[in-house]
Amino acid sequence: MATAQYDGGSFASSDEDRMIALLRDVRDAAAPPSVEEIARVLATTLSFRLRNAAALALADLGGREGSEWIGAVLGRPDVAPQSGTLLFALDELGGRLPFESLVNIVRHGSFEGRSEALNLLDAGRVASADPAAHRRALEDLASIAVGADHAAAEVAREALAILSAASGGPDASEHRR
Amino acid sequence: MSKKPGGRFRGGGQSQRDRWFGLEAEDDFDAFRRWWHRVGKDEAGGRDLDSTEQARAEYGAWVTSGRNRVRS
Repeated sequence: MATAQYDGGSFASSDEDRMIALLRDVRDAAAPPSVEEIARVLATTLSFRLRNAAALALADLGGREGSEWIGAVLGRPDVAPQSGTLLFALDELGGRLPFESLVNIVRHGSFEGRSEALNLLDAGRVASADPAAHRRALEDLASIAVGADHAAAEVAREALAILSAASGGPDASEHRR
Repeated sequence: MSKKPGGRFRGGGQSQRDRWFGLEAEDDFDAFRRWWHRVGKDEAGGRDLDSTEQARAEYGAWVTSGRNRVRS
């Protein structure tokens, strides 16, 4: 079995458990891996266990850069089914969830991920890059709300209700651009 | 408190009301949530919770084992 390699200069291993252990102890490491190194693991691994550990390590290190990496990864359909801990880490960092990533989680996410995402939405922690992206995300959410996936439709309707309440009316299009 | 069709619960006055399987009404919910994400989930295989029933089972196991806390 390969061993993890991090000696202050590299951070790579084919031993998933060893890498997870290194990431878990990142706050106590004498020379911890950089945010960029951890973000590379977050963005490239196909292991949801390792991805979760990377997101928690970014939360432990703090900083805006970590939340931006996590928010971007949460926009991937392949990540959404195991997104709960990434959303928790984003919450711990005080970051914002991109609206497009929220839609992705509503569409493809787990029960846990959807609940964590709605928490962020309810807390006003979902934001769009620009008005056009915001409109597209709203249209996608409205489409999911009347779609055939009943679980996703219910979550989409709840998200639209939160947005509507936050904007003070039935039209949520002006919410937090 | 009433159960919604999708499994979440409607309560009131909670900062995270009905967003986390109904467990948010528990006094120690924040400690459990932190433990779940930082310890319990990986020990259980690393996958997200899929149902209220699974969440309640994990919460019950955490209570039975002594409510282990994770440092902030």
